[in-house]
Amino acid sequence: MKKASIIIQSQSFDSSTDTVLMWLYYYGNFNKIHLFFNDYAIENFSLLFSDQKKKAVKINNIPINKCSFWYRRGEYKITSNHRNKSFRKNLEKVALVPLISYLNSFFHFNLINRFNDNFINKVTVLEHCLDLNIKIPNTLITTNSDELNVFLSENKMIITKSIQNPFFSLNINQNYKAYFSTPTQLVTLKDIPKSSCSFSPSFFQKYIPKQFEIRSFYLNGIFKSMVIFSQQNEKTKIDYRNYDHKNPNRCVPYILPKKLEKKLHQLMLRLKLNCGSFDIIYTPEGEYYFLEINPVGQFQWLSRNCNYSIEKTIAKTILKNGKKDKNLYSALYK
Amino acid sequence: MKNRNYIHLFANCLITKGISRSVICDLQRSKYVLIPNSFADLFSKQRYYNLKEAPRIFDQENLSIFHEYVAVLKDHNFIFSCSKKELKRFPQLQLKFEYPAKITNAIIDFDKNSNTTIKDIIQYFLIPYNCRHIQIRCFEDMDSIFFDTLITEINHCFIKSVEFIIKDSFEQDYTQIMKWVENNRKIKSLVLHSSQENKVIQKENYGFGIVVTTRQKITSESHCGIIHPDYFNITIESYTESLCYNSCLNRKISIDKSGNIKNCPSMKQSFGNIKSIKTLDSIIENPDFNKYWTISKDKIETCMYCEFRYICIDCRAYLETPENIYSKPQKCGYDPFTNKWKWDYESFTK
Ligand code: SF4
Repeated sequence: MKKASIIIQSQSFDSSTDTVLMWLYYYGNFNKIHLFFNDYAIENFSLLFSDQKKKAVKINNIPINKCSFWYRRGEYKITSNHRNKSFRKNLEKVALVPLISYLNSFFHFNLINRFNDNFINKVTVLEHCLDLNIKIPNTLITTNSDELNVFLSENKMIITKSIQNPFFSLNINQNYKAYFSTPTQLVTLKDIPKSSCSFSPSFFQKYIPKQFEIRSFYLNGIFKSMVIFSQQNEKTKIDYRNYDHKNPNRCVPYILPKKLEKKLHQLMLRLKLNCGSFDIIYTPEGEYYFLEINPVGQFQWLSRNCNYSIEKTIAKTILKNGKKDKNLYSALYK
Repeated sequence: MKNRNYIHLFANCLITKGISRSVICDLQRSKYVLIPNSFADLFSKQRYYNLKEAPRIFDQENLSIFHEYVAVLKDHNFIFSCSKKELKRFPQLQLKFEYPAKITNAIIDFDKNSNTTIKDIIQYFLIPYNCRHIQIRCFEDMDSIFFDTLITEINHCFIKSVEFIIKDSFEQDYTQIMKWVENNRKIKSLVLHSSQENKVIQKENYGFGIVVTTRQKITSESHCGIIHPDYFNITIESYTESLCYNSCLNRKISIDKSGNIKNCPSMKQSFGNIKSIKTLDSIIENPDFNKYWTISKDKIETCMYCEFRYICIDCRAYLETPENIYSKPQKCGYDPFTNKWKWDYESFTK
């Protein structure tokens, strides 16, 4: 069997990437590893589609459609070097943006994630869950305080969080950058104006009491789950990401019911995602509620706490060079 | 689902039974708690217990002892409650030790006469074996140029962490050395020996950058091998390794101050000198060299009866009976039969 060439797109300080690389070097049976780190500059590019279904896509002379590809972090940078600034801007819009967007959604056999997975729409995901009978907390996105008031009184306790990405930054002037984050927070009556008013679209969900939380790593149909006992800790009751470093939440291995795993697998197929991490709540009544899917989430603490060696699994998948996963590939593209 | 009448041990809280008592090792929070064997036995077949059954099984007196210990487990957050139906959702921790390196750690000693360069060592003896954690020891004074050259090489290579054990020559003024540690983020720890006092000069920051001084005079290899609860290692990684491998020597190499390649600097047998050898391949394959790797505590006399056997580090250099490679570490003052520590540092360090 021909040895794989490997492309890893990531950031240079990502320690998960580091551990996967260690496994790759430990096995050693690859041809070459190309690292596309941080803002990876595309200096030259070539794409050839010809008759007999021949396809050759090259970035900096590396044939990416022949390589195993793991997307983890980072992005491509491609710039034109035309002198005129506004000409350059327009050129980027009409020629370079479509090209980058092709590369960011590039999909072939031997691939784990791609850049565009970062932008899986969370509302779409919830809609798919509804279709697939995966329980989700009652959800409301609204611009209207009256509607919100009704939602609150129906659901007793509600939370708000970001619709999509909880972080964004703003340049205040040349010198300052402001960072905003919207962690999950409880919304109570006193937060809602009494007289009706409108605001920009905001996301609300029924607060689901937890027995515990589950983080489940998914790769090509396989689940590695961990339970987080966040309920014992006041700091992390609402959102376990409010870490408590002194007294970390108990994190131990967990096995999701097969029935739920099957549904979640269906969800991943619909989203054309082959790797990601699920956030799930388990209620005192014994029900599972889907919160969200993080396509390129952190898995290192899950791997460590449960001794799952997820990095090893990823390295092995990369080295397989896609040969064994044709079934999955056709399932994804049917 | 109100009937959560089972108590279940968290998967990362593992019981090790010794000959006269047991210990619960909390691998997530790196601590351990002693419990009687009779209580440990309740969890010998399964990791949970039905509280409803207890009154049927114990008499009055034992029942209250049982509840006392359940309270201890609760206080330490070793258990949670669950229902019968939920039991099957909580698997045991996988106890496989998996680590992607042929050599996991190296000890490299230097003195003024050492004519080995770190650059060659990294290239020939570390990179090919994925060895990314090293310890550097200097028994005597070395100048700052020496350390700067070392750290520059380390910063520019794939090494992940380095621990230094060097002689304290700073005459109480540690500002400079603290800066140095702070600027070089791969330094996990710096121990200054032959110092005026035992002191933490700089606290750790996520496991890196700790600086401590010790009065101990670490002037030769013989200062190693001391077994003490302070050195217990209570993590998933070390615990799972100890189950099947030697907790000190597995996948370790050392290069002593003269360039001799050994299992550990304190051992006599050398397997070659780095002046003449440019690869470890044949050394790693040599049964005389790697025979120590699989001497787990379960195979070591006395230790096999000890409740600390999976969190304790081992020593094969200083043995109670030197001619028996399965004998107990000489510098251990613990008797697992009586549960007493005999403490006599001086006699070990001479
Ligand atoms: S008897 Fe063995 S395992 Fe127990 S403390 Fe001593 S050296 Fe460690």
